[in-house]
Amino acid sequence: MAKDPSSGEDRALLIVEDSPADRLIIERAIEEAQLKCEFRMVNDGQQALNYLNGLGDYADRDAYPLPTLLFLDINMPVMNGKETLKAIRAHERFFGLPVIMLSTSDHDNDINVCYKLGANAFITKPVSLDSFIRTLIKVDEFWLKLATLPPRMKQ
Amino acid sequence: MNDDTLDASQNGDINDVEEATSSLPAGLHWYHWLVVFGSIILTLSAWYVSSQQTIQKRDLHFDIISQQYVKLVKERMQKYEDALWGGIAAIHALPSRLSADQWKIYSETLSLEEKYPGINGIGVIYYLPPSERQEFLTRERKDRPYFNIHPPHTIKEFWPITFIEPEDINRKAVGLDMAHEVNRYTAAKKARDEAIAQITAPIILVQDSQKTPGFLFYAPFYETVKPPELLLERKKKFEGIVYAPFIMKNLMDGTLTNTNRLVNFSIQDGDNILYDEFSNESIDFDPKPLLSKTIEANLYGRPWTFNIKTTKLFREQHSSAQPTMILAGGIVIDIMLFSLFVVLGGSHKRALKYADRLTQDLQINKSKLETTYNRLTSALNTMVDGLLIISERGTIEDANKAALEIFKYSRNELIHRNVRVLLANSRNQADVGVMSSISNWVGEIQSLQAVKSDGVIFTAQVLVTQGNTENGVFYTCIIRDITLQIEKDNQLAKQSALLDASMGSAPTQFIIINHVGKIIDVNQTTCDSLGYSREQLLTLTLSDISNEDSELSLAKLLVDLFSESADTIRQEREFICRDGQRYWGLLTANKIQSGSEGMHGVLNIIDIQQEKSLSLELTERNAALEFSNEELNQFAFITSHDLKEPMRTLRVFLGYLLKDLHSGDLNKVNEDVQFLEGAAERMTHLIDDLLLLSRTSSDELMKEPVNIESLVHSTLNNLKTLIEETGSVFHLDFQISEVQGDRVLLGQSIQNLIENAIKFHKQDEHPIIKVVMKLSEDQSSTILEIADNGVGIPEAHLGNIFLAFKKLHSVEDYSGTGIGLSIVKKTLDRHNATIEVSSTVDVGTTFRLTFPNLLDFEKSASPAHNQAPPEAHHG
Repeated sequence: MAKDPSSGEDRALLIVEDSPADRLIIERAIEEAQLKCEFRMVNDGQQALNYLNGLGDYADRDAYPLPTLLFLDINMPVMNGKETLKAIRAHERFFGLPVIMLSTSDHDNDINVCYKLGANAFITKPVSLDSFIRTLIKVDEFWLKLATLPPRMKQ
Repeated sequence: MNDDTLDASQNGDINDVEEATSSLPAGLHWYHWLVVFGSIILTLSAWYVSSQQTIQKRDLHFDIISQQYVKLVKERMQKYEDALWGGIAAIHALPSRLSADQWKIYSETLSLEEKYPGINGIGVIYYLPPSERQEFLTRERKDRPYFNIHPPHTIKEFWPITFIEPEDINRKAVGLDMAHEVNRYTAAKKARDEAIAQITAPIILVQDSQKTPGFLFYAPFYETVKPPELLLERKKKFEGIVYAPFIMKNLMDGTLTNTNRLVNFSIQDGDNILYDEFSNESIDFDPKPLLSKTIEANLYGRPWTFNIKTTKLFREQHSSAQPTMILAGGIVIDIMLFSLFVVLGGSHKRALKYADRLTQDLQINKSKLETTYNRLTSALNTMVDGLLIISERGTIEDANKAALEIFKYSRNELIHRNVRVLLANSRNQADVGVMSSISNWVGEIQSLQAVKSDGVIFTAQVLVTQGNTENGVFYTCIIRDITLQIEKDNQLAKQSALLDASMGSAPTQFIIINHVGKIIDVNQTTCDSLGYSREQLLTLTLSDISNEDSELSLAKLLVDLFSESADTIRQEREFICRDGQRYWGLLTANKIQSGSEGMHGVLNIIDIQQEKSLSLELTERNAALEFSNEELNQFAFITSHDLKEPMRTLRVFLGYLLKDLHSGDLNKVNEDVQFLEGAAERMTHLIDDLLLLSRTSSDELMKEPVNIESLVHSTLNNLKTLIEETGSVFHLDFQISEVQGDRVLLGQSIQNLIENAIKFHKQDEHPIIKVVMKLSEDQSSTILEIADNGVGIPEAHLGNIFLAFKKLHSVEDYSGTGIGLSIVKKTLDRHNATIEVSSTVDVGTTFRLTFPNLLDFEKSASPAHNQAPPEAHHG
């Protein structure tokens, strides 16, 4: 049943981000924020869907645990964030997976479309290291500690 | 008879015939009639006497039958009375008190059913003062324990029915006390007091389940065999009553069996009906009896009323045919007699009849003639035109109503006057002149001045025909007052002149067409606008000066214009001048009635060419502005976003750099600096490309012949390093090499496309790129194709590859800002050229540029081949 939510075990983040710089930033920020959770990164929406569905290499759930929370960039090649979000929400298995849009965009249209498609939150990428760290801590406190999420679905 | 004139004598004959026909039949003399009437009187008398006798006989019969029935009932009652007295005799004959068994024996001896049909039984009632009641009950209950006196009442004595035989059908009567009910009690006391038999007023027997009327028949008995003389003694020595109950219906059934019913009857006791046969259920009942009567009879103290009516059977027996036969026979004889007389007088009568028929024919012919005359008169009177009949001498013989109205004369004023009073100019002419002119007018319609009775002179149209009779020649004139028509014509002419004048001087164009669109008339402005002379235009139709627009077809315009319910039509329409030039006009069309020629259309056209071109220009400019606005918005948004992105990276990594410098982790410092460099470089690229795009959009576009082949060669020269690194192979095929345009912008576009073709190659293959330039099949445009064997573009993305900053590949795999294709698109847009892309993933992508070949391009630019031939490059 429910494990101690603050233990950090059994929790995993999936970060979908194409920019190498941003990926490094997020990786560093997680380190600095001392989040006790595992995280994995993929390059685009297609890879994210493969990961969630356990296709190919991702079938190994020890190496690629099913995420508790998804960070999703909007501007990506191959399959962008909006398309990815739409595909995830079309999938009954992932109805309870919190998806947080993490984008440089702060355009009204982008925000509206993402919420319409079923995003749980929309965060504009912070412009400094410190604010990036603070953002991650807040996300951790709210989504991974405070909020009760649906029981994890079986594979 | 009147013989004065021929006419009169004819009339007299007719009258004689009428007199003869009115007293039918003809030819009989007075002695004939005497014999006939005498015979009829005899017949009627014989019939009357005979029917009187029949009626008397019938009445008599009815009287006898009626008396018989009453007698029958009385006799029957007499018989029953005897039985009652017999019972009393039996009681006195017994040595001891009567017992039930003994009474039974007596009743059986009587054989009631056979000998006394209709009687319901015979019984004994004892009189009991209250003191003896108990003793009586005790005694009777010895043999019959169920015996009881009933029902209770307030009178201080008891008259119980003690015995009644046969007991089974009269069970309910056993013990019934006569004192409980007034009819029974009254008759019983009367029998006791008067010592004679009595019957009760109508009652309903307790044993009669059908509750029909009935009565009791009482005979009293005393201690002594002979009733005491005095009333007091009688009361004192009174012992009881022997009685019989009757149901009236049963009684009558018994009485009347086996009789032929010539009558039906009812019996009433006072107002109470005892017996009633007057219903359709009765045999031979006659709802309308021939005869009826009422007989009053006193039966044993009760006043009975017999109502007797005859039945159908009676009617049948008395429907004697004798008087009718006498009457019929007599009448037959009379008719025969009469016929004999008539036959004798027949020949005379036929002669008269013939005369009669002739008269009738004459009358029919006369009335036909009258009808025809009346019709003719009324037809003439309903004519709109006036009609005069004029004698040879010029006298007006007759005039119809219209003629009188036209000339304003009454009939009497005009008839027999000379026709010249009606002619305006005849007053100064001789009579001879008039007459000769009338005969001259015959056959042709003449217009002449006529004068009315009030002196008003007017123009009349006159048609004269000549007729001949035995009495000579006469003329028929048909006259029409055409004053109003002349006025109307004048007015029309005036209006027409007015219209012509206004049309001629109008600054707008007027065209009059007929119903098929043929031009009937135009004004000078129209001639000027279209460049035709008036004569030329009058040979043309509307389709020669206006184009057949599919939406505003001329056919539809004509249909709409000449339809019944047509309103004014307004539309914008393009018109064609003689020299082929066109102009837009605002057309207003109305239809008018144009006298004998039918409907015409009046078209008024205002030249709106200037307004139209202004409006078109404005629409185009608006669209361009809107598009440009939208593009600007998008551009601003994307620019800010994409510029922000490397800026953010710069800031974040500066933060890391500071941290890492602080902690002294040199590896990380190195990494940080690399990212900082990358971000700065991307920013530079971005700004360069943005500048380029901006210039593409806004710089003045040169229009000169550009040699594309040489542009491709210089591009390959520029990209030399990249081509060598990737091992790219180019195949060039220029069937044509020149287009009109801006060399700098086109050069940039070609470089972008070739750079893309090289960049997006598959990891394991060298790029093979074909560049082909040729004329399109219809020679209308020049086509440049650049095809590669690269990774291709997924179909879903083909639509938006020309948007600024649309990156289809990650930065890691293929570097670039995402602006290149936008620059190409913008450049081609400005050249009125198009770019299409077709692509298959993992096979390759082809970009196809189509430049229109403009005919009117000004060939003022300098000769094209002024560049050194570039180095061809082969992989």
